[in-house]
Amino acid sequence: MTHVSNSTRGRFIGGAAVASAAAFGFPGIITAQSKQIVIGVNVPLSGPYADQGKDQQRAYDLAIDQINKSGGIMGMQLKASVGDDQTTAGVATDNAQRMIDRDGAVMITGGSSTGTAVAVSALCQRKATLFMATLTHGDETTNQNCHKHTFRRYNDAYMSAQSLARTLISKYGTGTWFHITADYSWGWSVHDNLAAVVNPRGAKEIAYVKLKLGTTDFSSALSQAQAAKPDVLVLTEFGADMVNCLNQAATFGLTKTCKILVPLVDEYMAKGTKDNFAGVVSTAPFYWQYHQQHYTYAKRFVEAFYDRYKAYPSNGAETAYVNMMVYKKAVEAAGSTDSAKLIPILETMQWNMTKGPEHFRKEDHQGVNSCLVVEGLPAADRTSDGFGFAKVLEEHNGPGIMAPLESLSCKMETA
Amino acid sequence: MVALTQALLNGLVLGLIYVAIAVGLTIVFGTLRLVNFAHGAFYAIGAYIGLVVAQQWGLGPALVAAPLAVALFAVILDRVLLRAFYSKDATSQILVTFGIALIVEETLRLIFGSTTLQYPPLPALATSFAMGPIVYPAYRLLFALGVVVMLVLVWLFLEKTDYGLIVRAGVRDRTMVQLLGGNIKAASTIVFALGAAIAGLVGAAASPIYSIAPGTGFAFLVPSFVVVVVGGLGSFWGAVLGGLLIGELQSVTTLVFPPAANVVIYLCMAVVLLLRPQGLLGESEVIRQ
Amino acid sequence: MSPGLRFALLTALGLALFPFAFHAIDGYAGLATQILIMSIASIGFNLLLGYTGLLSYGHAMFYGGGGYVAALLLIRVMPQHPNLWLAVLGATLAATVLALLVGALAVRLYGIYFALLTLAFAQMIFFVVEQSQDWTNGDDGLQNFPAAMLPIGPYSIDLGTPLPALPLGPFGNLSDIKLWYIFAALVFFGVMIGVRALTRSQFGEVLTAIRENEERSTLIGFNAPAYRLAAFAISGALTGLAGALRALYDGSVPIDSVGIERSGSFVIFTIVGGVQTLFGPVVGTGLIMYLEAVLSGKLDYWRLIEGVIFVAVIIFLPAGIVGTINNRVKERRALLAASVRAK
Repeated sequence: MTHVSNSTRGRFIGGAAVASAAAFGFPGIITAQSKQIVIGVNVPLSGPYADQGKDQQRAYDLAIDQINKSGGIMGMQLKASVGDDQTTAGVATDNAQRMIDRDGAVMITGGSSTGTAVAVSALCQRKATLFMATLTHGDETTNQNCHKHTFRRYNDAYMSAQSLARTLISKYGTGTWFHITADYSWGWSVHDNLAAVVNPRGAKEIAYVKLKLGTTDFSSALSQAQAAKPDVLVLTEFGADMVNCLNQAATFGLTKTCKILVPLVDEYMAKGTKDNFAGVVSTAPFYWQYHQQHYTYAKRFVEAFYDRYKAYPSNGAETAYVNMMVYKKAVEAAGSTDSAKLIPILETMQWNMTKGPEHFRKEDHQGVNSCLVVEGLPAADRTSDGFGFAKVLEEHNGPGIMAPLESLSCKMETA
Repeated sequence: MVALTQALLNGLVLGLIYVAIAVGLTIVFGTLRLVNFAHGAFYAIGAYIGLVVAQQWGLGPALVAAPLAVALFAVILDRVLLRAFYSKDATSQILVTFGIALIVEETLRLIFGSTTLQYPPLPALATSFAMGPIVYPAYRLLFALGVVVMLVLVWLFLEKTDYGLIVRAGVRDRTMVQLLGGNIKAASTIVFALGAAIAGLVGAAASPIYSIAPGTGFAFLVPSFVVVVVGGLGSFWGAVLGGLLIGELQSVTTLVFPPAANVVIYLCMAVVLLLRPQGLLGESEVIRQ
Repeated sequence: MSPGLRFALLTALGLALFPFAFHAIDGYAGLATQILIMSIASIGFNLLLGYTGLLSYGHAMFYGGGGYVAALLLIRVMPQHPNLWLAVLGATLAATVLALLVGALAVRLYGIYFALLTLAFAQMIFFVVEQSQDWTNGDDGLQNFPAAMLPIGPYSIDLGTPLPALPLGPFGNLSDIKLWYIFAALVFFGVMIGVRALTRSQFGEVLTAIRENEERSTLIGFNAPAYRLAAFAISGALTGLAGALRALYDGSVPIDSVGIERSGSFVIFTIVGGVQTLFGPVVGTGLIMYLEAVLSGKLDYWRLIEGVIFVAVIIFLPAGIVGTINNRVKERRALLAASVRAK
């Protein structure tokens, strides 16, 4: 890792220095030391979500290089302090704390799990440091545990469930549902949202099996499913866990005997499951093949990413990239990296990049954008590199699929 | 009923993996009095080597290469480092082998990366075996059968060869065997290599079932200690009984009351340690170190 | 000056200088605070391993247990008036009770059996914590609990407050240091003085005698299991205290705080620094945590280096860093004394 700051010490850097120092009551004591903005990139490079984390890191590198080459942000160069959060809340907060205390990071971003996102979010709130969450899909991040310093652009589980519901009810009917779920906030959130949508419409939930993140052997849950003979098998697993789970489900013959639903998917999960993912319905906030046809900004991003890495960006990478670009835009508008000045800007700012017009909802800092319902293609029908893995069934748009404001239990701090 | 049968089958497969890892742990303890916290590392090395070889040349060669490579590693480790710790107390042994386990885990990370690796979903692996309402993945059944065959071979080795005699004698009376001198050194090397090779073989054979990550070794080590303690440190049949018992206990609890599935095996271990520290089939010996 | 007073003064001086010296070698004040807190846990661990010879492979149950109890006291019992004293005392008490319960069963065992029994209990606690999701939030751990205030007399102190600004050149700025450091240093100081007194008391001598020769000590009339249980309880209490402090300092309790790797970390900290020495666990904790915090930013594989250091210490410096230095100093003194006598 080459991105670590050695030259910057202390918390306040560049343009933020004077403003923050004044806010803390020591005007003029801390002066600008270097023309640099340190960003904490906290992504899983090991553990079950490592593929997703590595792809995010690629996108951060790309975004940061592009920004720096075009003159940085207000003349200041971006520098990343990278940490492997190991998909573990404790490690993620340790990393973020170090990035802030040791490297002087003024913004933390990245991550591939709601468990780590919620933990880092709480830390960043205490440290008054901006947190631009990346791949976190559980509602909690912007609902039950929302914080003033946290913004999440990625779809939440509520949006996925609402989007799926519209396609699902006609396709999957209302039979018996068997849930195999990752046992942490994300899994619980997805399950609750799906159940809230399909159960009232006549779906009968016959099991809700929760398995620890990083489970390697799904046989007990799968053989229960095998014995229960459900109409729909919901695999709320992500990353390598989902690959493992779906591939093992195939060895139990389940891909043939029931309809499989995977609430959230990305390119790497589809690649790892090959034909087992054929016909599986899922959601994704971004799909390079689809979005590059509709938005020139997306096309430029996908091409730049491909040029550099000879691979197409997964949806987590896209959020990582857009997070950086949104951050740049916000800092330039605020004229400062001080979170107290940035937050009001981010709460009202609009941008038009990879997915058309987007913004953060002021009340919960949830990104308002679209959600795709996709269906996996058989391996033979995919692009030869495996990245073109799905066909888009439907695109659902922002406000209509989002949790209504009055239903939120988000209690936002004032600062 | 179908669910219970499936759970028992799952428990059997899981139990046999535990048995296979625990057998090496237990004969090494029985013969050399070495508490090996690095035993899980042998499993992990076997799994990685197995995966690499299998991707190049297929599963067959992987099942040969993995145990051989792991055995070689174990012999070197034994000669260079561990031999000096045979005569030391259990605490020092735990510490040094724990340290080795850390180093192996991080070296695997360095070589193979931190990402969770798994077999591509080959059609051959996806075949399932149907018997009435019960459908079970064929590879798992084959794996279970393979472990049974291997256990029989290990048992024959222990019963029918001179080395086996030394192992069995060592479990009963270590000092006596030490007095015999001479070939005991060779025998202990062979025992250590054999224990490691078994773990490596199981690692390679199980990799189509379980995904592999650098931490895999530790993940299997801990339950294996449960198995060895329950069965009796040093006892071959203890490891077999303990492994099957723990595997089934875990699997059936998962079916009946999932939140307790992990607690119950450690509870079982604690109860055995307190009421019968030598384990179900262990020789009663002085527990003091 | 009495040795006790000299020890206290030197410790206090060291604590006062530590964060500034630390800054000069790329350390930072937050890490200095965490090191002091974790050192308390290692000191507790060493009290057991060093003075009874018992290797616990389950001290995370006290550490994480302390953290969870402290957080739960704040969330469930006193969300309106989050009192740091009560949270820490409650957590330490809970860890002590847990240590007494586990210890009552465990102190009859030795060596591998003791290590495995503590491991079994710690694993049980881990999975119970993980599954009690309504209370513990399962795999995600606890965050977002009220920031505890430290009531002293009529004042209610927020330990997050920094000291006044004062630039100190290569030693950073006085305002890098928050009241948390001072609080942790005071607790650490108290623990050091207490543990030193304890190990030099009759209690400490009996423990050493039991470790060296249990049969003989029993014949003299000492109840060996009772002494070991007492050591186990104090050890658990200190580790629980550290767990509670760390939870309140970090503002979060991760599930790994009760995990097996955390148990292993106390083993590493203590062995690297040196068992049976007062400062060994502190040096080991500080060194490993410093390397982790500094190297993890520069090298991908700092954990490999950590493993190599650990094994190298076991093989080449079985007494640990501080133990080896102590032994060398003793040898020197003996040689010096001998040469003086010869003259």
